[in-house]
Formats: sequence, C-alpha cells, structure tokens
Amino acid sequence: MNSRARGVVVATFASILVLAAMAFVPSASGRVTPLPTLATGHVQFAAGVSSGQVLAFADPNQTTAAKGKAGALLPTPLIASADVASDGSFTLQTDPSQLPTSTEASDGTVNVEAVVVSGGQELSYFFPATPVTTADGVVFASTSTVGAKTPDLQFDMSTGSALNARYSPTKWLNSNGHTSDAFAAKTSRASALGAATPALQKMAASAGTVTATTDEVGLCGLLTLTPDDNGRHEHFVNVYDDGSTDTHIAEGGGSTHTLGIAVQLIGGGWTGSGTANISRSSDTKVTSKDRQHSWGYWNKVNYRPYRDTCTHRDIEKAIGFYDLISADIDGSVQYDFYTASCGQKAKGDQWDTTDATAATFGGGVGVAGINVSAQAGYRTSVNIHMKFLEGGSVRGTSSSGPLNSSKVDSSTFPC
Amino acid sequence: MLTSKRSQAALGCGLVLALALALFAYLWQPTSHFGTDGPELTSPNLGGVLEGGARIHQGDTVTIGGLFACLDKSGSVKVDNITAIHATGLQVTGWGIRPNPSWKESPTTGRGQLGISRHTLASLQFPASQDVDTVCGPDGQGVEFGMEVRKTTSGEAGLSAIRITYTSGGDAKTFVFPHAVRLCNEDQAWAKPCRALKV
Repeated sequence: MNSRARGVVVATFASILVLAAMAFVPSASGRVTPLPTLATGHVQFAAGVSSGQVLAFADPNQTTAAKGKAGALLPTPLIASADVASDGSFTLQTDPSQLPTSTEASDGTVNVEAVVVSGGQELSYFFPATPVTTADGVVFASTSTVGAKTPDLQFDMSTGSALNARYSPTKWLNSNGHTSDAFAAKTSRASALGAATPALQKMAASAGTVTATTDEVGLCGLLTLTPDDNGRHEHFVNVYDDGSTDTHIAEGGGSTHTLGIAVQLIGGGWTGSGTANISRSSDTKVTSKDRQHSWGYWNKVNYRPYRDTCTHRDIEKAIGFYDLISADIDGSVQYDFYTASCGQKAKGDQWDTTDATAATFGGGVGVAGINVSAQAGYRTSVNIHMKFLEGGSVRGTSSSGPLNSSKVDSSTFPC
Repeated sequence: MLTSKRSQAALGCGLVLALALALFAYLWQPTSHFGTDGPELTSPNLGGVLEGGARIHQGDTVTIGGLFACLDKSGSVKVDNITAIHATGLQVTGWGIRPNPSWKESPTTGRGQLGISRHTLASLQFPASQDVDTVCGPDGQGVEFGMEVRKTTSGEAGLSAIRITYTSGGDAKTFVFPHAVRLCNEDQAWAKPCRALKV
C-alpha cells in the first residue's frame, strides 16, 4: 500500500473512530456506554410458547460460602436480566464494578446461575465469568476455556438441556489425544425442567428493567444445608512414565479449578448443571514425590449442599479444597505411549513444563452419586517435571511437537 | 436545539481530529505499523518449558531445537535472525530451519525433534533456506527452528527464551518461544549447582 492510500485509510478509520466515540460517550441526550456483556445465548422455546426471560444471579464467593453455617441464607443477588427475543436470542449485561464484593473472587470472577423462565417452566445453568480488560474495554469471559470467550448459553425448554457452548468438555482430550467421551459432555449439562416459582415469575415479569446489583438481595439465596460433603475425589492428572525418568508434578499457589455442580429438583434425581470456579490461595506450592512409573494424581474437594430459595432446587457445589495432590486414590496407572510427536533427550537431561494448558488437566469429580466435570491447571500453576535417568524421549499428542501437546509422556525409546 | 448544536460542534471537532491524524500518518509513514498484512509465525497451543542439558562443558557446541512454528495464512516470511534472550555463558553460533520432523522425516533425526542436541547444525543437515512458507495444518505442517550455541564459560550457562525476528510483507516482526535452557557441567541437569542458575 502506498503512502497516499495509507493516509486515506487512516483518515477514514479515524473518522469512524470519532463518530463511534460520539455515539457511545454520555451526552446531553442521555446516551451511555453499554454495559459489558455477561453472557449471550439462545432459548429454544417449548411448543406453543414464544416468550421468556433470563435472570442471572451471583453466587456467594468462596470466602462467603465457607463462612456459611447450617441454616444460613447466603444472598444470591440478581445482577442481570433480559427478555428473550422472538428468535430466542438474549444478552445479559452487567457492570463488573458494581458487583457485590461478597460474590467476587480475588480476580473478579463471579460464579453465576442463569435461570430461564418461560411458559411457566424454569431451567437453570451455572457458569463462572471473569471480567477481562481488552482494547475494547471490559468484557466477561469464560476464562477456564482455552481462549477466553464470552459465555454462550444454550437452553432448550423442550428437553431441559442447558450448556455453555464456550465451555465444552467435549473439547477436552483423552489420554489418546482424542476428544473426551460423551459422559464428560453430559456432566456439564442440566437436564431437568422445573415449575417456575412465584418468586421467579415475579422477577421475570420485570426482566430487563433491573440492572442494579443489590436491588434484589434477600429475595433469592442459597440456604446452607448439612452435612458437608468433604473430600470428594477430583481426578487431577495422570503422569505417564515408562521408567525412563523420575517424574513429579507441582501445583502452584494460585491454581484455579473449575468444578461441576450437581442439582436436583426436590425429590428428583441428581444431574450436573454447569460449573463454578474455586481457587487455592497460598504462597506455597504442593509437590508430589518423584516416581519412576505412571501415576494418577488426585485432589480432594469439599462440597456443600444448599437449597436455592428461588428455584427450589437442591444444589451441591464446591466451596474449597480438602487436600491437594497427596490424595493417592488409585496410584499406579497404565502407561500411555504417544506417537504424534517426539523430542530426543539424553541421559541426565531435564524437561519441565512451565505453563501447562487447560486440556492437560481434565478429569471428573464424584458428587451426589454422579460424576460431574472438573478441570484444573488452566493458568500457569500446574507443571510436570521430568528427570531423565537414561536417554530417551518426550512424546506428545500433537504433531506440532511435545511443547504444543495437551498430553506428554516420557519414554526410554529414542525418537 | 442545544443538543443539536453540541452534536454539530462535536462532529466538527471529530473531523478536524481525523484530518490531523491523516496528515500525521502521511508525514510519518511508519511501515512497521501500516505495512502489509502478510502472514505471521505462530505456534498453536505452545507451552513453556525449562530444559536442562547434562555434561555440557566450556567449548562444547550444541543445537537447541523443538521450536515449532507455522504461518497463520498463506504466503512466505524471511527469518532474519534467531537470538537468545537473557543469555549467560553461551554464544549463538548459528541457526537453521527445517521441516517439522513429525510432518516430514529428517535425514538425520527421523521423526524426532531436537532437544538439546550435542551436534552442530551442519552435522544435523539443516537446510540453508531462511524462508518459511508452510501454513499451519492438522499434521504438524510447519518448521522446526534450531539454534546452535557454544558454551563459553567454565560454569553453568543458560538463556530464558528464544527470539525469532523475521520479515513479512516488508514488516519486521518478532516471535518469542518461552523456551528456557540450562547447559550444565554436571552429570544431571537437576544437580544443585546448575539449578542455582536463574534463567
């Protein structure tokens, strides 16, 4: 592109920028900057129904939840609401700077319950959302996914199915490098419709008009039940080693885990319904023993039962960690040999991952008699350390190379 | 009426600002910002690593590899240099580019990428080309960079990352691999004296 053309392009671009800025800056005519989008989505209406509303409630954060004793009612303030358009689409917006501190994690993440009210029925789904500052301003993102994206919620009021299309365990990889099986996919979906309670109906009737975060505090909440469901086993990661290396794993201080939530209509069966984030906040990292064979590592997570006073569902959700890494549940596991890529290593060499990716660590957690989704290590907090006792290789699941692989093993075999 | 006048004034200011920006761009002409939209190097799902090599002594030459990249769209880029970031006790003596061995087998290492290879670029038969023209694909389509270094210290040597500088469509660009390396004298790279070197 020559310089004159470049100047014309810049002039045009700048003009557009200025006009766009005029459209969104507060002015005497009352126009204001749009609120960040908490989630977008779509509702498939039930037969004979053509309208609905979506309500978004903020769950108490980890600290608030942990303090709640049996019988305590923890507020779940309404932070956004929207009418569903005739084509089924909706957009939830809220101001992250106005969220109650009792609902925010240290990184601003808020665990949200979205409830669709339509045709006298309700369907809920849980998801974490994190405000992220971008060049376009603050946006909410499902940060537990690879590549933060605004949550995209899909509700089907005929089947009772609900999911976040931006957070799909079907994208996780199995040990063979292929995508996860159907069981994992099902565990993040809700699958039970309930009758909309009068409280929900009332709030839905004014959907779209409530944008403040504290107006409805006290109207909905989580009633703390007993007993706690401590030490649930979270399958964390398997390390594959054929004896060529001393291998250990380390989990850093600020690791975030995305854990499934179990819900049931009172008197009904349990089902998974989305996820919520909890974080470990510590200055110390946890390190496993050095082992010379394949080993499965587990954490233990504390779950607590609640009753949602607005949806009248019972809920089991994670409130913190019981134990990290040291929970050896099944110990030795079968070795997996990867063939997509290979990196040669000499005796005495060392190979440490320094920022594991999300897909590396995905398992499940058993709660309420079902297995719901679990994921950890999204950020730079979980690492694998290999010390080569003899010459061999690091092999990975991606043909780009071990450094691009979601799973790796150590092997005595040369490349 | 007041609002209308205010809007007109704002529109006028906006157009003046736009013209000023256009004039600035016309005079300044920073090619690195406004050049072409040529392809860029990328490495999907790249993770960081700290790699340690044992029994590497002063005067030894090794080639560091396992650095995979491909183009985000069709075209070609020319690699200008490969350098070590925060290098200590080592000197970069050469670099090369070869097809990713997972995709196209190497005559010297078969399907294997390099770790810290105790061989020179020449003995590994890296081609002389400085160009990358492979678009990312599902079968590992892309290249492996190799950086040859000589250890210049009797102590421990290392680097914190590896930088690729390249030209695409007339623009100078940079890609950094979060690939830290230690070159250790000891028989085990995890020996305390080598671990003491911060990279």
